[in-house]
Amino acid sequence: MADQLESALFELGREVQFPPTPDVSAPVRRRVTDRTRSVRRWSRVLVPLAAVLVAALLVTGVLAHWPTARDAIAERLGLHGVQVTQVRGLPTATATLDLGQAITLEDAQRRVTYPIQLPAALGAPDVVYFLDLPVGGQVVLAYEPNGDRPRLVLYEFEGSRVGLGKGLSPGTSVEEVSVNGNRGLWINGDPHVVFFVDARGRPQSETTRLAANVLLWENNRLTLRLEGQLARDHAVAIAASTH
Amino acid sequence: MYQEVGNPGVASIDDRAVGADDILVERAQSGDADAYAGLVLRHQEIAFRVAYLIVGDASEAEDATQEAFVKAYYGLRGFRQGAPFRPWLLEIVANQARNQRRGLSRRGAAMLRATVAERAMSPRIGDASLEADVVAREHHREVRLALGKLRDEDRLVIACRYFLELSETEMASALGCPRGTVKSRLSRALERLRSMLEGRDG
Repeated sequence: MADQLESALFELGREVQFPPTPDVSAPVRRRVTDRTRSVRRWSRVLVPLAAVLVAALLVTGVLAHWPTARDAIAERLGLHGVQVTQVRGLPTATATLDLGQAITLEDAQRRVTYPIQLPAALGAPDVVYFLDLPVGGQVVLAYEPNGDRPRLVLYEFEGSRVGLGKGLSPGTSVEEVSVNGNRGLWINGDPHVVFFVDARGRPQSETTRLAANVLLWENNRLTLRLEGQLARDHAVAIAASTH
Repeated sequence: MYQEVGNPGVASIDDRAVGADDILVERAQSGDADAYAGLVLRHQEIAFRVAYLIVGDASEAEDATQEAFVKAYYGLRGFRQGAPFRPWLLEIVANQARNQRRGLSRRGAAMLRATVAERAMSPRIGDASLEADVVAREHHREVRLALGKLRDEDRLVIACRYFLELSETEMASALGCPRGTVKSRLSRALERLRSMLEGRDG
C-alpha cells in the first residue's frame, strides 16, 4: 500500500506544473556587484560625515577635555557609526545587555548581509547571538574565559548604517590605535556607557549599559567592538587577527 | 567563467554537479560574481519551487528566491568548503519564503491546493492498457483530492519529497526541522493521507 501510494505521488509530482522559473541570475548578479560598489562609494562620503558629526558633539560638549584642535579630533575619531562624547555624569544603565537567545554561527550568518568576521586568535566562539538592533543586525560572539584570557565579547555591525553612542565620564580615556593599518579607538579606565541611536539619532534607552575596556575598529564594511578586561596590546592583537 | 564547469541548467546532484558547485562556490567566495551567477543558474529552479510551495504565489516566490540568493552570496564566507551547496541554499530560501509568507494571508496554502488539484489533469501511464489507464487515473484523482484536504504542513512535506524529490537533508532545510525528524514527519503525513483515502473508499 505504501509503495503504491508513494509511486502514485511520484507520478502525480511529475504532472504538477509549477509556474515557469524566472531567471534571477542577472538581477542577483547586479545586486551583489552594485552593493559592493555602493559600499565603496558611500564609505568615501561617510568618513567625512561621521567626522563632522563627532566634531560637532565635542564642540557643544566638553571640548576642554580634548586639548587638540577641532579638526584633529574629527580626524582622530572618524569611525563609521560611532559617536564618542565625554559627559560629566553617566546616565543610569543596566549592568548587562540582554542578548536574547543563542543561535548557531550559521544561523547568524543567514540573518545578516555582511560576512561575519572571526578572530583567528580566539578560534570559534562559545556562544553566538543575533540582535535586531541596530539597523542591519548585530552579531555578538561571546568567548568564555580561557586560561589567562578573560571573558570577551565581540560585536559586529555595519557602521555605515547605524549610530553607536558612547558616553565617557572624565575618568575614561580614549587612545587612537592602529589595527592592520585601520584606525581604531582604545577606550579604558572608568566604565563608560554604550547605546545605539535610531535613524533619527535618538538613543535607544534599553541598550544603554556600562562597558568595560573596549577596542573599536573598522574592517571593510563593518565596525567591530571588542569588550573585556584586556590589556590594550592584547586587544589589538586579537583585532588584527579578525577577518 | 562559469560555463567552463558544466551546463548551468543541470539541476541533478550527481558527483560531477557537486564538484562543479565546489568550484563555483570557491570562486564566488573570492568575489567572482560570474561564478556566483553560475550557481544561481544551476539552482534557481529548485530554489524557486521550494519558495513557491511555501508562499504559493509566483511573484512572491520570485522575490523570495532573489532575496535568498543575495543573502546567500554574503553568507558564502561562512560556508564550509566541500559541504553540499544545495541544502545550505534551500534553508536560506525556505527561511526567506517563510518570512515573506508571514506578511501574506493564507493564500499560500490555497494556491498549493489549486496547483495539486487543477494542474495534475493528465497522468502519463506509459504503455499500460486502457483499463489500467482508467484505474490509475481514478486513483490519481483520489490522491489529489485527499492531498487537497491535508494540513498545510503535511502537504508541504509530501510535496518536498514526491514533487521536488528532495533528499532527506534538503527536506530538513526546506522544512526548517532537524534531519532526524524528517522521516517521522513524512511517515505521519503519508499515514494521514492514507487514512483519508481509505476513509473515502470505505
